[in-house]
Amino acid sequence: MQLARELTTFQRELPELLREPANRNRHALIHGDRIAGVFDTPESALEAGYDLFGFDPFLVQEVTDAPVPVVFSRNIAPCRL
Amino acid sequence: MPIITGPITLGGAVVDVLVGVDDARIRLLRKHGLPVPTSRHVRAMVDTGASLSGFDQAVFTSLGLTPTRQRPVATPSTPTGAPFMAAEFYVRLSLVAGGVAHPFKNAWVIAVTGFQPSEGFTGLIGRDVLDYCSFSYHGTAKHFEFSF
Repeated sequence: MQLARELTTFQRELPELLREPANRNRHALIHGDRIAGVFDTPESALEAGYDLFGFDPFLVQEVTDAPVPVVFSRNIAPCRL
Repeated sequence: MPIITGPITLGGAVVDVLVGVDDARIRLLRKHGLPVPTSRHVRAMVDTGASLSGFDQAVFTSLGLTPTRQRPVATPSTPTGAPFMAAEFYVRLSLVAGGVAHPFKNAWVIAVTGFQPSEGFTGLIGRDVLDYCSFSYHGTAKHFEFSF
């Protein structure tokens, strides 16, 4: 699975990120086993990811304990990471 | 304001979309002297039941993109409270009206599978795009208008 390491890192670090109220609903940039930064928008996190890590895989995730699902009325089969 | 008009087919209201890499990725490719992949043409159904747009996984693979986010996705078949996690990509979307591609916006979209060949499309235009458009479905006349 792509980005498995980054997903594990994010799940591990999420409680700590949420402890700082200013991080809530901002966007974490994750590379390997570390959080590289927290940004106001996912686009700014993405741009920083390209600047810092080039073509290396990285992950951008919202810092929230209540992610809102996107909804499809059709039975699509999403591709997982 | 560009206007797309078309017939309502068995697949519904289907539009032509170009999916390409986003500006930050273009800068990265150029910095390394690599070619920028040509945007991919996708036939996509306008789907008011989709809160986000999505395209067949092959589109992203052919652009050399890897996912950078994951999003929870709920469909009629996902158990309540247990959405799928789907791979998400940041891309540049252009819409084709009158044979001309009009740059539209950069957008986060997901990779999906499960399109049937008989449907005639491999993408869904969701409300994330419709939020910036006008869409008229003229059922009795069997045609639609989509302006942006």
